[in-house]
Amino acid sequence: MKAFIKAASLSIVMLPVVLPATAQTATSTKERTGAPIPSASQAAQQQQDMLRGSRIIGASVRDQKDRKIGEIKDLVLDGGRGEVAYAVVSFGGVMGVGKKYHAVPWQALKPGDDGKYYVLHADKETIAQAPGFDKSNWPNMADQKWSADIDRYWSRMVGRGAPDNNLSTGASGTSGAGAVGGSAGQQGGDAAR
Amino acid sequence: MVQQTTSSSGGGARVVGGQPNFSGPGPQVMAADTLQGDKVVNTQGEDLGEIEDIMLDVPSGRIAYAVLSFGGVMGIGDKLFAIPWSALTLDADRKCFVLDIDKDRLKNAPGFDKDQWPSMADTSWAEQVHTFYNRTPYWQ
Repeated sequence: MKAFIKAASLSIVMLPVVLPATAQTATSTKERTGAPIPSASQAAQQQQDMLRGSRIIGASVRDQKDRKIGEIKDLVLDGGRGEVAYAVVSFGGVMGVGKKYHAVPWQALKPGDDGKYYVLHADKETIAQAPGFDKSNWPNMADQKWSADIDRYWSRMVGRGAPDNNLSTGASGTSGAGAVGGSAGQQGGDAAR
Repeated sequence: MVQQTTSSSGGGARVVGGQPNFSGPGPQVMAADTLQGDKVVNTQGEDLGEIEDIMLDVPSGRIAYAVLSFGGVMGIGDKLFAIPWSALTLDADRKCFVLDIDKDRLKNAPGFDKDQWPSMADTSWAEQVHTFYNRTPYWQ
């Protein structure tokens, strides 16, 4: 199964969507993102921001009351944009959805201290009704409709009562995996696109 | 439904080749867990090593680097290199990543020991690496 996934993941297809970042940089070969240039005073914080992918896998997911509600099982990368699109989360034991995996937009997760856990502002009902998939039968994550459905669900359901949540701005939910990426500085542009 | 084209997005690894009728995660969409061990070759087809890990800028979700393991024998004596993600091209047909660099030049690349990872958030370190591979820093 793993071999199949790896082989498949190396197949090439461009997402047909014109992604915001692509449009933004279409006239330039230099890629630009909204990420700020770290200053010396930010060095300590920046250090915590840079983590190995293999260390993020296995990190716990907590709710806003600091209770563990799940675990990150994998990361779905949008290689072309150079971004993490989704965290694949197992909400083990919560409302009986533990047998499934759920793709949660990366921007819906807030990094906790030291990157050892991530906070998801979602109630039990939101998690229970979230679109998921059988852990032994992964969907085609390059499928536009699949990613649009995921993005729409989480942008609507996450962040109620959490005004700082990136997804509450409505920046995502319309254009596939690309919609959940982007740095904070681009969110407004994405929405207005 | 899908287009077979080369990504123009500079933020990420470019993609070449590939079949339009794949089933499973697409070219640009990949599971992080499956990247480890993927081969990296240069444009001459020489083996440069394999992917050891990826480095993420967590708040922005950017993939900053792929960490390449190179040199040594049977995993002993390997040196690690942080390669800007944008410097890699995904070759779907050969199922590997391509890095346009001579083997000899890679030997002189800024590398580090397995047990002594550098502070990759350090700006001067990051600029040095991006300059070596002639890439625009991912945060710009």
